[in-house]
Amino acid sequence: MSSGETLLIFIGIPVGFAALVYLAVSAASWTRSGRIGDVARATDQGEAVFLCSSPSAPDPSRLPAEIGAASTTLAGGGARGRW
Amino acid sequence: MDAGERVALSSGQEASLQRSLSTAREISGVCFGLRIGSLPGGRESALAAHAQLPDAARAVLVAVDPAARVIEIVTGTGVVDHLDDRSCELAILSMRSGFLAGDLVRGIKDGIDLLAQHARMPKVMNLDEPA
Repeated sequence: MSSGETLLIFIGIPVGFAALVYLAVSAASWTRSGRIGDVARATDQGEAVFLCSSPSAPDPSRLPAEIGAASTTLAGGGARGRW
Repeated sequence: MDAGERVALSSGQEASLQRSLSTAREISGVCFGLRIGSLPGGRESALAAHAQLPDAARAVLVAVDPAARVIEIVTGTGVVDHLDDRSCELAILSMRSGFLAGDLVRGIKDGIDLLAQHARMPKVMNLDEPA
């Protein structure tokens, strides 16, 4: 076995495998969707996402006009946080 | 809301969040709502969004404002017996770790899962067990 083949086996293959693992791990973060920065920019322009476990979900576009309108009577608690 | 407005989350991510909400409802029997967007009035905005949920008294709203980096959890009056404020704070801690890692969806799902587990009513043997 030549020295070139030895280097290829003992260095090339591990390096190639490490590169493959790195690509597999980081590929998901390269996609545009779901990154906090993108979501922040989109939602800052008034594009809210509203999901509900009930099929009769309300229209989220009504929110800004109804702030404070009969909204506190049904709330029993909760929490607030920042990150 | 137009589907075209939802540019920030992929349809797969929205479906994943929807599944998480549905599972949370199945586990706890409580309606869960999720709002991702700006909260111009802070807590008041979250309360207003919560009031719009069907059966708001027995509903939990998780509101996330990614731009302001704020999380609001609102529980209905009929849920607070099972889901107290400390549980909500725990869910916020769980969500925060996901957000700090840059993964919004995972953080939200972790928080909703934790809320659902805590909102699950304790089993009453003489009522829940078949005779």
